[in-house]
Amino acid sequence: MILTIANKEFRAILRDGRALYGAIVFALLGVLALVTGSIRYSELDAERLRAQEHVAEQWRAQGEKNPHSAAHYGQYAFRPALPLAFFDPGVQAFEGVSIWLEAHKRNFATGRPADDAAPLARFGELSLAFIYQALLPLGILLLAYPAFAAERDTGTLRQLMATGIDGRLLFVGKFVGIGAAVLVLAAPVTILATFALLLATGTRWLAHAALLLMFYAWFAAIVLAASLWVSAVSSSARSALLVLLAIWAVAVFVLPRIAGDLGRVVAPVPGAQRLQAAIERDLAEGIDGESPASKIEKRRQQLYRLYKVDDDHALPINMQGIIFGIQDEISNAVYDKHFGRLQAAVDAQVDLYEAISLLSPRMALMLVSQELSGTSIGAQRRFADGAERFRRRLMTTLNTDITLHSRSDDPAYRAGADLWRAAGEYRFDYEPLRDSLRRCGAAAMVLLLWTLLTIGGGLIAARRLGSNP
Amino acid sequence: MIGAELSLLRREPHLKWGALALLMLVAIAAWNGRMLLESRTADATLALQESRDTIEALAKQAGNGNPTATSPGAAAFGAVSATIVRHIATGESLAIGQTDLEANFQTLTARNPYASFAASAPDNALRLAVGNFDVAFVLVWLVPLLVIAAFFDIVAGERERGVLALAVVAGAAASRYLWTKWLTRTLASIVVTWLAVALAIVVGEQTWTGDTAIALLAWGTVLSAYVFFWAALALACNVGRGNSERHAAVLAAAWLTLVILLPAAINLIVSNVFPAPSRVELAAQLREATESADRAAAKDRDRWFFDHPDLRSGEAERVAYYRSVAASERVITAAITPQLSAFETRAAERRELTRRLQWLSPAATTHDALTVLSHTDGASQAAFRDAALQFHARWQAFFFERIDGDRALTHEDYARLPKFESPSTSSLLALQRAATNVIVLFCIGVLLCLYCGVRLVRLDAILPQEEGG
Repeated sequence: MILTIANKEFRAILRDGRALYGAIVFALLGVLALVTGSIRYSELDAERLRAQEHVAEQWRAQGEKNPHSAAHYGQYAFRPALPLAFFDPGVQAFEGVSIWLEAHKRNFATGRPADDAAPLARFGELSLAFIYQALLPLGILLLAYPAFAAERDTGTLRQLMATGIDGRLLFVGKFVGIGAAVLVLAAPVTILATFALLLATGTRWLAHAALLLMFYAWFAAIVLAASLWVSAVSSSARSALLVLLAIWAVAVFVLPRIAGDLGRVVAPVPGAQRLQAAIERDLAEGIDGESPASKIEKRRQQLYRLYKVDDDHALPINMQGIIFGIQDEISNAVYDKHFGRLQAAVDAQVDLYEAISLLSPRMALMLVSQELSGTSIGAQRRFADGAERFRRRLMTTLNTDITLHSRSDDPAYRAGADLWRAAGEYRFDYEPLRDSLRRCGAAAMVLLLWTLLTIGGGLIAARRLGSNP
Repeated sequence: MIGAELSLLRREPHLKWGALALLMLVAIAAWNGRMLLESRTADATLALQESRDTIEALAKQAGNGNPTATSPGAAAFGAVSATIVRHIATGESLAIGQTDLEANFQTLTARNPYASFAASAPDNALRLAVGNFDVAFVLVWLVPLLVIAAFFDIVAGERERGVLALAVVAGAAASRYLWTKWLTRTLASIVVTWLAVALAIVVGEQTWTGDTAIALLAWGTVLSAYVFFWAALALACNVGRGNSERHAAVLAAAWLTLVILLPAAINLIVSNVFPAPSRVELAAQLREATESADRAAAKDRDRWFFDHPDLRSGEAERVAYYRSVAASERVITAAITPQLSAFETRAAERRELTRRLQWLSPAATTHDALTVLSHTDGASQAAFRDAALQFHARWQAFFFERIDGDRALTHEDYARLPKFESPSTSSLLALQRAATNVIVLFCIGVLLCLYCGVRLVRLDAILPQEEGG
């Protein structure tokens, strides 16, 4: 019975010219997004690889100089473009692309692509993710809204229910039939995108892509079940359409913006000026009640006792290297404190966004999609934290070299290419899939709740069709 | 007839609730814009005050001969910074545009301009990516949906319910009946829009001035033209074939196309015709410039462990150190300024092309008018950046002259520090630009009405025959 109903729905949709036109428009937009996304990704990837190599070469070829001068010269870390960014650019445009890794300071990533965006950029970006998150639901609801309501309008629903059929079977049959039609209509773009990914990167990102597909299919199923539910309880096809369009506009476009701004009000991120002032104050005064000068003096006395001397010049090591190290320890702790607060504020905003996604499964899908595409806030943080860990290792190497290979008040000391090579260059490590998935838990839970709600609500509404068709 | 239509309108619950929801969303958006602006203004005021306090304190210390206050190098590269604040225009809280991507104030030092201009304030990238919930968004995106809800069945619905046939039988011309209905609904929609604008200004603006009244009139006029366009489009769709469901689906597709897809497509075209210069390459060029400057100064700078003049004693050492820093910054500034100008030139080209293409989308046209009126458009921001760059050049020159000439800073010098003037926002110019957009929207609406007029006259001829048949 279910298959008969599904078959009828499936054929009816494919016979309908409007569905075909819709599928063609969807495919054209999808191909446009795929082509432009792929070109953008390849260009960015090549450019960043070039820049990273160039900077590494500059570092190695900087000539002989004092290691601390080299520390100020520093290195740059460029954020790599991950292959699935062609599908979902996520928040990448709103995060800096490079971080200057220099002595004493943890810098923010600079050079946000959004700063150079065209004036209409905030209207939305035509990416594959946007098409699947915003347009596919519209297509589904346009296919599904008449499923029960139109039959009610024409009186065929009453006749159908009079045959004694279980409304739930009808619901499942229509769900399967329309779902199959959606799969067929969305298949060309999906297959093309998967093929493009395989062609560009082999199977390296196939697991990510498969999971992405699964989540998007899950989301589509939720939208379909919700549309059928609304159709089942609406008095007419007209009202079903109006209600679904209103829900779509609010869930897809309005709620994400409200959630984002509400987060800003509830957990404001400290302004750059305040943050900088707080960092400078802590750097000057220390954060554990002991001033930097006192710490340096304490370490100096320890070294005097160890080497049984009473003067920096008598030490067999360079005291200045030790001082740089202490200053770095202090500044690292200060930056950890303030970056931690900043990240906590952003996390609180994202948590609120996740909570509000209970009202809009699109918001939950958006978070999952960004995580699996490597374009989320979490992915950016991984890049920034990795760069910072490297910076600290780099500074430790350079400070140690000063300490061990020169004497106090010896400005003539120079290191060369061997040290620069030994210090290494920044390299980005891709995040294992399980780590990205770990951040998807809350969003997946929201999707699960929506699944239970829409299928449960739809089945209950369908069962009632028997008593009130 | 108008009275009867108005009382019918009042009885349509989905319109009544839709209008109330719109007003509520406008109030929330206006409050949100006000909160954002207040927090940004508070940050700017704090930064400005801190900067003024520091300068005042240093001026006093310079009078007492304090070495840090009298040293132009120490002041230029550490102690003194200039805080420049962008003028907040009336209505800015209502159309945030892309101003949230840039701080409304900058803290500049005498170092190269990249150091000041490349930094972006830390923020939640997810919030930035989903966009602001401001009044311009609510009105440009959601007002058309309300208009569609009020108009999608204006002809077909009357036909389906048999009202049109009744009117013809009663001797009324169908076209006159429909035009009256359309006009009443259009006027009602415009009244709701004006109410929304007034509410937005009451909630969003902190003070009422003559400019506030002008903003109210200008916003109301722009949005009236926008509503007129959508009402005309809805009628044009209705005078064609099909039932009210079909018209609802077509109008929803029109909304999607004009409000989302076309702006996104324009964005795509503009980004590809005039791609932004690469931020990655900018970072690499900065690196080249830094390397070249460092090489020139390397011999000297190693003496001070690059940036630790405190490790060497004597005034001559300090003077030499700051001269060396100034020389490096001069080289970097000379190398980087053309690159920064290239970004601005490209941004201007993008704005120009967007302005030409925006006529394809009434939503983009309306949004442009609203941001122009609120001085949050790209050109206004570019004017601020340009003024900031010019100011930075004067600020740098002020200190470099004194560093090169080894002239100690005096109390009077602090009073002579360059002062920043935020570029003035000409309301007249903004009104002129917005007027062009209004005229275009109005003309498209009139053309659509003419088309509808022709079709409705035909309806007058066909309907009596249909009824008679």
